[in-house]
Amino acid sequence: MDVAVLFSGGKDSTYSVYVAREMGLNVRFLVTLFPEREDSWMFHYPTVKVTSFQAEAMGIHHLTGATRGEKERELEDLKRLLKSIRGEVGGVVSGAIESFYQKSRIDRVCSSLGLKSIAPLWHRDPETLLREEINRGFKILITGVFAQGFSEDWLGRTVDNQCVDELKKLNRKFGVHLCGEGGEYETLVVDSPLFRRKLRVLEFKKHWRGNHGLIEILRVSLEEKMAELKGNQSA
Amino acid sequence: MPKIEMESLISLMHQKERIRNVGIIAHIDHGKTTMSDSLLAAAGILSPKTAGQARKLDYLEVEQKRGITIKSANISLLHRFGGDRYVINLVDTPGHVDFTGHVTRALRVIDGAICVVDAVEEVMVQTETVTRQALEMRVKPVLFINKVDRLITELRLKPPGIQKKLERIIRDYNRLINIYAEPEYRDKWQVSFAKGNVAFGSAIDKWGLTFEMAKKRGFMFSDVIDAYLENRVEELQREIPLHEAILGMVIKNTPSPLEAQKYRIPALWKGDLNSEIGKSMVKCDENGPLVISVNKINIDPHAGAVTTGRILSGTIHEGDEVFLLMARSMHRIQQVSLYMGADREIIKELPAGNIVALLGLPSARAGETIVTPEYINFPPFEKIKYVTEPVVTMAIEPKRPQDLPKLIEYIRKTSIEDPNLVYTINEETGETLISGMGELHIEIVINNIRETGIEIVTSPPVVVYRETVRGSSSQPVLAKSPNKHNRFWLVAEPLNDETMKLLEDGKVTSDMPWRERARILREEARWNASDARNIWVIDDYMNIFVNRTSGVQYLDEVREMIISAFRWSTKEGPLCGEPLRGVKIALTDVQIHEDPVHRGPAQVMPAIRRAVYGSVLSAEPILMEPIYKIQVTVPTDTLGKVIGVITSKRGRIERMEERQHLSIVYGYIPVAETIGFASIMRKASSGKAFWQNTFSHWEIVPEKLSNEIAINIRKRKGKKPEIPRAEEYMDTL
Repeated sequence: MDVAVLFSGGKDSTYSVYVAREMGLNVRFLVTLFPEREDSWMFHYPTVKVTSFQAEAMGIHHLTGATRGEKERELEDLKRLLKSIRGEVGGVVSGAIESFYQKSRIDRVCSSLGLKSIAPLWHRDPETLLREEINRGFKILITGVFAQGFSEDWLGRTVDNQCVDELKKLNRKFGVHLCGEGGEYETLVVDSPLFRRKLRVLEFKKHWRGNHGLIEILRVSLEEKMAELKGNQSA
Repeated sequence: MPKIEMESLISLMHQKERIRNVGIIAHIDHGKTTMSDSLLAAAGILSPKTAGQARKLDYLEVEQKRGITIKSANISLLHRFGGDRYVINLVDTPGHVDFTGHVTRALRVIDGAICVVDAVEEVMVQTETVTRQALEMRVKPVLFINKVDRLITELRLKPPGIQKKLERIIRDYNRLINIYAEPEYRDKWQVSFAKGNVAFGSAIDKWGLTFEMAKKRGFMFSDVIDAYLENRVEELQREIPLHEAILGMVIKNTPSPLEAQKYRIPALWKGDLNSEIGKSMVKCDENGPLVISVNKINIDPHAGAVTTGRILSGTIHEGDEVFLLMARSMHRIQQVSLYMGADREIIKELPAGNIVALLGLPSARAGETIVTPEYINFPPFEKIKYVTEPVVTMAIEPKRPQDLPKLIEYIRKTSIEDPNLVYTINEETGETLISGMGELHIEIVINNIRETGIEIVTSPPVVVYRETVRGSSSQPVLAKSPNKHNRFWLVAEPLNDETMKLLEDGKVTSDMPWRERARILREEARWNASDARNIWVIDDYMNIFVNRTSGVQYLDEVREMIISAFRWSTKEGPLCGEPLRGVKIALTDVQIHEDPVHRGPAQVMPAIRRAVYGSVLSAEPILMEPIYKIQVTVPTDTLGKVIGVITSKRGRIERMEERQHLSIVYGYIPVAETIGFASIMRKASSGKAFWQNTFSHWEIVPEKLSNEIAINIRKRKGKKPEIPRAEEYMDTL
């Protein structure tokens, strides 16, 4: 089946592309809404501009649309966007893990368009999922932190196994979701087995505001990966 | 104690009209412990010769060195009076103000109090404090005027002079009863020699005299004087022994549990007096359901935690299953025993009216209520109110890092025995803070730690402050959760004086029935009906959280998180991380994300804290400092210098009294000014001043000092020195 993946550039939506392919689905489109507002209810803002580079790196067609980011308007904007590819795909893949709010709305939009809603990560164990992403070569940067327990030095960190251990501590202490499903942190995937070229952040700015903060990415480029890696990839 | 005595003691424990539960209360060094020892000696536990020097009740070495009693221990004594045998459960209570919490706890389990007053020094500030506490808990006092020997041998007073002094003490003491007793006991409980509830004597020389003894034996006061002048003090010990005077006075003038529980239970317990258990307690019925009020926990090196309390109803047996109301847990009693000085005698069971020591209750704390498992919803005894608060803090650190676990374990144990010792451990730095009633209290704890062999480094003592507000936030302060999906609007306002009084007196608490709380706040503290009805929580530092919203979706789901965030925020205020006090925080509006994953504690907690900080900072925040009540006794010729010291330390003089060549100054002084006060005072008075400090109240710091103090505290805590502005904690839509 041909599908579209709802794509934010973060770890879970990127990983759902990977899992969709494993499931034998043909990912035809990456769909990204650019919210105009910072506190979008459903979609991720800080890294969203970079998604076109990621799409290019994966060689998948990128479908974008702007939204005012108000609670219910966002859904209508998404619906309009999906409607334009209704004839070409049979389903929509999302990276929802636990947010029933997010999934139920996507389900509703899909069913109204006669599309199948697929959430391959739904109810996966967060720790296993996160470690799986790391172990499968996803290079994930933390671009925003929005919860009790995070400090400024979390910004720009690469998510590795030690990082998962620290997240587990925050989970025990403050109830931070390991995968950031409650909006606790935002990520950007700069490299993965799906990428033919990798992303390089050339210019960025850190914003820290007392108990939360984010990285504003100003300039990004695509770089060739090392030859042997590329070889493995195509093999 | 001979075996036969032990058996009569046990049989007497069932005859409630023959039981007296009493304590000894006094100003420091007025001779309380010496008196306890004489009484112990008479009961055959200590040999009569060593009593007076052995100070058996002071079983901690440090107490011996300092000559003050820190812990209360219970003893049971047997006494023959008017042909009958009586059992007297004697609770030794400490005299030093720094540990007044112990006194308060002991007062719950006793019905009568022997107040010891030094004949030379007369009624002092601590006499007043402990008498007031006793009267507030309906404990009936009797008076023992001690150290009369010094009037004869040191002051060389003639009989008219002695009489005048004794009369003045009795008059002053009755004045206290007049001020502090409830109206119906004001006249009934007045003391006089003729009534038999005043005795005088010398605890160190082991003699005492009551009106009855004087009459019966034809003993005159001139006989006492003669005995001293002619060096026949031993004769006094034989003819008018101290224990006879004291125990006789106690038996005749303090109530048995049967009598006392009738009027004390309604004052100490807020439950339904017509219920089965209420009736049983009022009747002191040993066949009723079990209720024990715990006054003390000791950690015994061999037996572990020993729980001591008064049985108010029912009978406790070895092996009984019991329920702890505060700890909410079930336990089996491993051992039942009664006290003999520092020792315990094991018995099989003990009925209502007595004081008992129990093993097998590891989670019990002072103030706990023990009941039979069928009564797990029994309304607990009101939490014991402390009249003092921990106001001085010291940071301690082990010299060898590997000692840290040992140190923490020791402090944890100590704080079980002494709930007035508060400690916090910073998990990241390993720094441990201990807070107590004053410099001396902390010093004793530090000494005890050093004696266990743990080497420690200590910081200088620092005073604990509070942060409060003088105005109200001009508009609700908005804070968003870090993920921006939740919004909270809060305002801060000061709690009025009436409310603070109700909180301090424990008349309004977080866990009382809300209807009653709302009524009291409306009628006695001018609260509007809606705020009074919508209190979510009252924290330990006397701040109140009120919900002013209605019908907001999902609010119930985050209520517990908001409450814990509120408690977390009030523990460390925005000015300099000291606790808030006297602040009302009201939630005026709120938006909550409908998806649980977006409104977890990591989102709600920081948002509430932000809003609390923002609203406090926009409501004219200021520091409060603890104030001691100070009493200084000094020869009149150095009075001027002492007053000079007090006023130069931001203190104020309330009143002065002259007694012969001595002057007594009463006043108030900020605790902060008393750190290192001792050497200045000694120098100014050439060592002739004797003074004592008791925590009195919190007071707003003078405006010009507040910022400076806050900045210093911030530096000490490693925060950036500038006090944050309200805007730093406000979000915009």
